[in-house]
Amino acid sequence: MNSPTERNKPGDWIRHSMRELLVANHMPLAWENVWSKFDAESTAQMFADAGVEKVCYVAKDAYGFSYYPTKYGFVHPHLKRDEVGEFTAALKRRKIRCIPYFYPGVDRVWPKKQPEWKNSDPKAISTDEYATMCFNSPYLEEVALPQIRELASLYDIDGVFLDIVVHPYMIWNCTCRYCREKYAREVGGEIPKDAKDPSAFVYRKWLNSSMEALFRRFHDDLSSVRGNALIEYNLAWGFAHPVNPPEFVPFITMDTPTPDVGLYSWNFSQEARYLSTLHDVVWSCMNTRMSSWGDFTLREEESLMEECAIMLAGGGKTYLADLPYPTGRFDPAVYEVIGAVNRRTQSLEPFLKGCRPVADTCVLHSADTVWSKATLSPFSEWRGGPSYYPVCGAHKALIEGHVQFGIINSQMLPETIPSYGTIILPDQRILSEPETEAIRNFVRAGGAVVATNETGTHGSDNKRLSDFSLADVFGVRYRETVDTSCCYLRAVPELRRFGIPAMDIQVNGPFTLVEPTTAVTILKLIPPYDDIHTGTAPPALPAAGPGVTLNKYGKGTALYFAPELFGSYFREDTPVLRKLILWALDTVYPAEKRKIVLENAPINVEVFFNERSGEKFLHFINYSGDKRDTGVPRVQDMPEVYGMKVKVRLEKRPKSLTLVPEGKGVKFSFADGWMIFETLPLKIHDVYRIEL
Amino acid sequence: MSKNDGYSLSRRSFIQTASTAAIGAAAMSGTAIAAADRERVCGWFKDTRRMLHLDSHFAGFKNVFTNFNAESAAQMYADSGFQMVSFFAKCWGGYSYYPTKIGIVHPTLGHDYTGEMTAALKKRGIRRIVYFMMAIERELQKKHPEWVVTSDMNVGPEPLSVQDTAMMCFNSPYTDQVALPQMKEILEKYDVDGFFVDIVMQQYLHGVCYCKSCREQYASEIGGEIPRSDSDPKAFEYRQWSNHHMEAHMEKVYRSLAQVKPDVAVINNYAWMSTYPVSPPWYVPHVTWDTATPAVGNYSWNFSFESRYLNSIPDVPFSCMNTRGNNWGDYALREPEAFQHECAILLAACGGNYLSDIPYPSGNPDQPVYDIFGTVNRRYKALEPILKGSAPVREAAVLHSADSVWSKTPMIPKTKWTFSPDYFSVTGVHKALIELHVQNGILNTQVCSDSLQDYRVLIVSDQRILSSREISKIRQFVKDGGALIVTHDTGTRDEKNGKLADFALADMLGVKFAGSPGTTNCYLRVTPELKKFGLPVMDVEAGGSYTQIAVTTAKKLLDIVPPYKGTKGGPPDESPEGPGVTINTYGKGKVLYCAADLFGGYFDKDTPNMRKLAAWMLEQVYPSGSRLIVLENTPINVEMFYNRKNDKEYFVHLVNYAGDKRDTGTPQVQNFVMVPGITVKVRFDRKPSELTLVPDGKRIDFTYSGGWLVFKAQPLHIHDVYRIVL
Repeated sequence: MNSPTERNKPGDWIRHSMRELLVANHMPLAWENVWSKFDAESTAQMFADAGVEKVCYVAKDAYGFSYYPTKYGFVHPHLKRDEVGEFTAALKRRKIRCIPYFYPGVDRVWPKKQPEWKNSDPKAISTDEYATMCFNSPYLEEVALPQIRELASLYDIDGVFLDIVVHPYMIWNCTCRYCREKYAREVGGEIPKDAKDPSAFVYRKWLNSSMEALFRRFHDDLSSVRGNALIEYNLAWGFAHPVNPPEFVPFITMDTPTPDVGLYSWNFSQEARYLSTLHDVVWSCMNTRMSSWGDFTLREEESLMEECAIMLAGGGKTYLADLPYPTGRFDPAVYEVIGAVNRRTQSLEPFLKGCRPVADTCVLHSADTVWSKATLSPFSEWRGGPSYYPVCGAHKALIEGHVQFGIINSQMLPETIPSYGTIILPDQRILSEPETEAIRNFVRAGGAVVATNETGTHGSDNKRLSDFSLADVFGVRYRETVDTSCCYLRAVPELRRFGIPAMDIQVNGPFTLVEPTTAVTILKLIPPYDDIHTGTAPPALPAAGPGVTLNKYGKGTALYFAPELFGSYFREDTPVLRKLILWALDTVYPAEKRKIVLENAPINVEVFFNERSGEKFLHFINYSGDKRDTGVPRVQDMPEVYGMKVKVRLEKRPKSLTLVPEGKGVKFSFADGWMIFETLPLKIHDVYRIEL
Repeated sequence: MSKNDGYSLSRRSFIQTASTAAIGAAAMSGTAIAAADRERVCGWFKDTRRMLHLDSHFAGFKNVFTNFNAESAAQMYADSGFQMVSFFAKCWGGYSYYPTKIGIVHPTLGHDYTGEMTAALKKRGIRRIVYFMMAIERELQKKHPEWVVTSDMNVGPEPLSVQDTAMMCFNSPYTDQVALPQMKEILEKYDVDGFFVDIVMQQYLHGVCYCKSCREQYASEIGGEIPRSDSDPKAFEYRQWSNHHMEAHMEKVYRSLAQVKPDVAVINNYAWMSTYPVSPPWYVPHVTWDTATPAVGNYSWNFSFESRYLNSIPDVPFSCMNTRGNNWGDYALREPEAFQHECAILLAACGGNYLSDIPYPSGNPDQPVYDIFGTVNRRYKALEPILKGSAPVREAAVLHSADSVWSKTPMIPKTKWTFSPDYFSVTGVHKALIELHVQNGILNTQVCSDSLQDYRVLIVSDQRILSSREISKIRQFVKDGGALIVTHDTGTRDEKNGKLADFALADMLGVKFAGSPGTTNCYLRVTPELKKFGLPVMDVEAGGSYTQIAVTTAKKLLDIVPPYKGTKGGPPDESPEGPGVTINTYGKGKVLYCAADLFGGYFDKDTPNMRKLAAWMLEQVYPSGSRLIVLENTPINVEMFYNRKNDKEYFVHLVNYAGDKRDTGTPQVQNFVMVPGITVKVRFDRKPSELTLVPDGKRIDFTYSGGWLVFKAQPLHIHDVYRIVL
């Protein structure tokens, strides 16, 4: 980790800016009179009145059009004014931070002049009018970087937002002349074309380091013109890229899939649970007022409230996104909604500042494990692909089970694991030596671990090990992985109290064959019928071996699942799989050991438990989606939730419990180290402050 | 199929039949004669509400039914309260599960499954329906490749079950020479009540078959080649020809089997449901369908839509099937709450449940599955005597015209399990109305014409083709004081799908048709008066394309705003183009016209503002104060059904819904949040004598004043039923 002093260099102000706005004006050629009716002053005033502290507005868009007089870019042919200049000046007058949006990789001129500079991946945008350029080509030095420097020198901006800079490394695989030459020079040989290629993992590492080098180059160049300027690298260092950001990155942000594609409520929670475990960075996720980028609907105020509440509860900031009309008109109706959301944020800010999540349970999200499973393209367009599902499934189960948890990356694990009570290792294939050692020490000292499937079966070079790296902790020996599409766990009657029927429970995906050494088998693994390895074959009659084992190691306990339980839960969403997960957690880390326990709380209420000196904060966030046949439900019309019982473990009786920002006192009891209270009816988001 | 079998049609007879269909339908089907015939065929279905389907597609498995114990299985089904069980005779893989001389027996079949199951169920008084996959064969394609369906039909068996099979065309000699003889063989061997025939409609609605038989029949009956695209001038005629053959096929199967067993029940899965909005003929004893499973769609929504459609058809019992797992062929077990909720929708809509299990290869059932099914059935059974004979109260009607569907995509109206866009204008009305807690029924052309006078408001959402009978009924309805909401291209085509110069209802709408720009979106410019409906004062996206109109006698309420500067889709233009919503008075009634396909847009995009626009529109012509039932303080996910029985008893069903927070895919129904504080207002002309929660019998306090019975509902968990006695 880098020290806070080092991080304070670029854009330190970002730490205090909570209410952000993106104005996504990508304007196709067919739109005439673009920005013709733009009134920068009244627009900036409307933003200020809506409580916005920072605005991102487009300097160069996804069609390759620039919105200011530029020597390097291609100005939108229907633009008759300096949109960037006017916007910057008007915003600055109101002390609103200015971050122009810049799409560095797309161009309208150079694809025709220098076609060999184009990104060769067929997934990269390429039309007759504009195309995606490769950053390893001379385009970077001759066009992209000069234009960024130009932008920074022309206007009093606070930084830039760079879009689609992760895609060339995480989604696309460019094999242009420049990439091939660079790879041959730095690694040797040809760029692998198949994920099964033995050098594919090395290629992945090379791509990752190339990406970081590019980002550093952007940073250095911008800094050379405007010292404290900040760069927002969309999508980088979020959940999908679980690596600690370098010292020049104080702020992480991303646009998770829009409501037409995915669910903000879920994605924001996952990002928050991950990003809040990093040290010394601030972060946000973007939510559109629309159903998708480029549409002009206005979603419900409730949905924006709920999504932003997740950001705040998770320790982040809000980044609402709007779309102006082609003439540069902004709709006051939109800013009524954004204003309402921002007023709530503003009123909560005094209770958010300096808070960190309480460490109770953690989930390991190892980048190497992701790369191990998906070497060439770990991202599946907008979101992480199946290689992320085990961690996604753990996140989903734990929020539904109201478990206080954080998702930690491999770099954070050795440092932070001692503060947690339990760790979950959802099919984390690659565990580095420091991780293995830290986990071993953690369990030895009394920690609990839940591991699944192939956890610790690969070395840091992605080569398969002969046994689990944590075989002693698990108390089982690895024999082989059966690559089947489903298997079953034979649930025993004792599990009924967790709502699990006493039958063979289908868990889709592969399973491992293991041999207990010191562990005891608590559930049996049932393979698919007749060794059918495709589809959802019924369970065979005889068991194949242990399905779930339990081991004592030092003062701690390890529970191991042979199937890929968490990934299956994320894919299939069968509730009984969540119940199995919560049963497993209860087995190694029972409720009485935890720092917070909820009773009578619906699965759709998410709890965040934060703390700062002398205070603890409990956030409860409701969720409700409509009854829709297909597609992502729209967040709206949340039914009030009554009668949730909250138990918080505290060393001594707290001084007070209040609902904030309202300041309403709430009754509680304290006995045996537990503070207990019943929540007020919950509509969207309630925050309780415990004064110690 | 031979030309002398009585079912093939000459071109002359086809045209005659098609042109007289509406008249014939009015005179015959859906009438007392049809009801009496249906009663004669299988009256027992009326009292059969708890059904079980056992889905044993075992082609990919060995040692099937080897340790099967029919007696204990049947006992478990009986103990779980099932009145009817459908079980396998022939599966997707083309295998038969009994000794057959015609079909191919599963190579590792351990028992005469069909026979043993029949006997064990009969012993327990449970009705017996055998599942028969008529079209799929394993060997015939080698002998008769010309019988095989030749289309890229988007339907097929589960990959695990298929192996080497082919689908035979029903228009080929296969039906007469193989399928029907095997079905008759089953009837002769076993004491079954009938058949569940799967994948019949798909051959006609999901694809176009160009096999030799189809081409020859089309050429002889219509002339020329079978069209290949929706833009072919003969595409609409092809659709009617194909539909007619589908109906003729189903009737032939019934008549043929009735020769062996006169009271045979033949259920054609999926037939006569909302996908094919035509009233079923007299020989159809029961209508059912397995709507998209949780892996694909949402039972909660689909069951509601199907129910609202099917319960408007007189005298036809219906059900929908819900699987134990996330999909067919899946061995997961969903939540008990999900089944209770899904079946509550069917019960509330006066339908039956049809729970579905996926047996293990042994055929022996799993007790935990039947623990859940038993719980659902016990609730059903407790409510049956109370609810028997109830029917939906008629208030808001939604026209679902089959011809309008065919008009939009005549060649392949249905491309997938869930609804394709040609249905969205109706599915969107349904979604908006259930969320607004408006008591509604979805009426096909025939039912609408027969019963419109009983309703108070009619919504005609982008229904391009209106028959002359419909037009005349709608005209009379509004003249008499009914309210009408019409959208987009309604009534812009004649009965042969030809474009009309003006709306067929132009005089009622008070507007003149001026064109269809064919954009992909449009906006309505919302005025400040609409704020009280929760609408923002801005240009609100209102669906796909819009209609250009000129006002004649109507008054403009809102402007339509096209996409920016003549583009096909995108942001709103600066200025409106003309009227977007108008209102007109016609006779004693009011007519509201919306130029946008608002409801289709709502179903497609699910933007809540579109529902709010629908609420505002409804309020303009049919205000809450004049409705029969109004709910207050009710979440959109609580669905209300309002039924009546013998003019003395009324039932209000409230059904809750809850899905989990999921990134993609259909949420799993589970973990309902209790909803307190719903206020129910029901209009009566005199004070009711009693209000109770049933079957519990708990008395509920109510007030009566100004013609309204008002009560506060108990906190709602999954499903509550209130009985009002006059």
